[in-house]
Amino acid sequence: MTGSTESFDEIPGGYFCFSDEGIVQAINRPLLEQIGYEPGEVVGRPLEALLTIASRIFFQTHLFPLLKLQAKAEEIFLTLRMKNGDSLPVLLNAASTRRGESVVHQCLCLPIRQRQKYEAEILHAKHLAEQALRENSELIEAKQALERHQQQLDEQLVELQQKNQELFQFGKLVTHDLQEPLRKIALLADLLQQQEPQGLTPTADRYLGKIIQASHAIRELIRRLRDYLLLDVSPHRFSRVALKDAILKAQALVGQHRQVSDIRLVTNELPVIDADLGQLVELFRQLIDNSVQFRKQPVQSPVEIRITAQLVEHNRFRSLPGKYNYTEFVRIQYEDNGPGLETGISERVFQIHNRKNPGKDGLGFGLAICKKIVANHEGVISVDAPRPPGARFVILLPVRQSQP
Amino acid sequence: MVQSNASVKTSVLARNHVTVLGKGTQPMLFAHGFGCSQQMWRFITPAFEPNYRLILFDYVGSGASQTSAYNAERYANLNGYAQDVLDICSALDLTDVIFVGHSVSCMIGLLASLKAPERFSRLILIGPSPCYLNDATGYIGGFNRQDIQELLVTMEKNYIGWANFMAPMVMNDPSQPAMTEELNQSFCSTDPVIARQFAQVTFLSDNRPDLAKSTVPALILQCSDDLIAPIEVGTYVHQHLPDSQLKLLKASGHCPHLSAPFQTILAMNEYLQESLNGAGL
Repeated sequence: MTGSTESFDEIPGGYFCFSDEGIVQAINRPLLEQIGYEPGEVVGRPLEALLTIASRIFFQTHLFPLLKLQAKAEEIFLTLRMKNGDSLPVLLNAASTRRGESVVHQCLCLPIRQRQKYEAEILHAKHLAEQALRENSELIEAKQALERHQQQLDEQLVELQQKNQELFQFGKLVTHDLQEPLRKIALLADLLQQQEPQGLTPTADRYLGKIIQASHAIRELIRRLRDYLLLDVSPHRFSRVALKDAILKAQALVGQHRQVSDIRLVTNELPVIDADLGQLVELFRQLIDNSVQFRKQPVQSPVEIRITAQLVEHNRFRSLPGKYNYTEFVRIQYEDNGPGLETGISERVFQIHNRKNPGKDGLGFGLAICKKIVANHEGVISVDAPRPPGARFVILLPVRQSQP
Repeated sequence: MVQSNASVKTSVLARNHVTVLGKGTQPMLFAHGFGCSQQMWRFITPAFEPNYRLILFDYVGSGASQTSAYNAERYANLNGYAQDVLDICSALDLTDVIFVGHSVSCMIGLLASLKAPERFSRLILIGPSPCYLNDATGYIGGFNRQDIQELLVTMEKNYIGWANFMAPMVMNDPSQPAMTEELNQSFCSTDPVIARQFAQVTFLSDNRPDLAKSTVPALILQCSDDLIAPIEVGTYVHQHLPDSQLKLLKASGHCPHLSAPFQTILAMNEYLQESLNGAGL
């Protein structure tokens, strides 16, 4: 454009142009008069100085990208800041042209003080209408959802009660009815062995020994099964628990039980969360016990366990699709220096009795117990894709338990 | 957690309008800022295509994403947007990701990296701000609530002439109606209600406590004269973000990848080259 300064100044509206760097290169007199500046106070200065803060954000996030990508923008609403601090609403058209090496963005703007009031009224009315509409439809939707959920809840409660009852019966059966005959088998086998060792053939004696061994194994299995079931039936007692305390307690228990003193524990700063202390100790006892039991053989180095915690926001809803409530969780990462878990097992390790080595009493129940404890705390436990060395679990637990 | 299967994968890719470019293997994930779409990366992506696998996407509610997937509860929190990033990472099974985020996406990327640190190897943050509001402790974010309120009004006023605002002019080629149509749908087109909520969650979030938790090395690209993320804010991020480098660009404004793409590419390459050397490769 090669129009003379006079013709710019005779346009019944505002004209200005600015560079890619956002510097005003020219501005016409009518616009200067509208905003109360002298030419020297504007040209060569940043355009942003002429905008209100909100319009600066809009300029940076919308208008400038639009100009860079489309070289043109029309009917943009912006608010100019006058020299005396007042606001001047304008409607603006802009186009970008290349001038030699650089790009210039030319703008025409019309003050819209009157229209602005009118639009504000329309917007206000629109808001009210939208809000009423939204609230109404939200209300209807919420009511329908509520009715649906109440029905579901009722069905689930019935089902849950029934399952709990079954579980309770089953638990009783396991802890008592199954243990009683087992106790008898063990007792009789013991008696047989003690009273008549000379009467038995060596083969029979060996078989008897195996019977005794097997009954001990079954007893241990029943004990673990009972522990597992109790996690469902007994009430959770939540209190403020320092994660660190629970972990140290668990470490001591494993050390005692396995008669090992070379468990090296490395942790960062661990938070205090709402938890059932007994269950939380059990959770880490199972994990640490696995790390010790499945350490690399032959033993060369201490069992190294690294537990790091980080506070993150996580969706509290675990089952309902499309429901989100981001609340504070602690993300616990548990790593050891063992041989790691088998590839491709991921979710299956948390199921009961997915035992990779039937000779050992570990993995079968241990991780199922972990999963249950984490679920009792409304959390999530997952195992990382194997990346040597070691196993890695990620546990997400809410920092605060919901009020009953 | 949920295993990714084929249908989940395709639905995420369609939902976020995921585009994959480039001849390399290491993934570079580009996350656009508030008010725009993946198109804003187009001046800098060609430079990385030969050596990286580029993944571009639109957040749900932005660009050419599926607006029907918008969930007001989920996206009322930047973690909902971070979940978009994580969904894409698991759909494409990305690891060793170089995350490139602009504006609000810097904090979204940080949140994603806190939740799945194993997926990310570098964060490149263009114009990050952990908190846009000034507060009583003396922190200067640059804005107060009144400013943000006015921004919402400004946005709304512009949506009155919405159709005009997003109509593509320069590329309006009648011989290629499909192209115009595509642009019409994808450039900066955001549902006004969604845009309003995105503005609110962007400008009212406070992620200052999250900075110190980061475990992924980061580059902060700071423009010289950026009103939205001023140098003080960039310095604050650098001071509180472990293992971070601060690079001051000569470019002004909030969008160096649009206004000074060459400089931006250079700074990114320098950093990536340096970290490559640092890793002993």
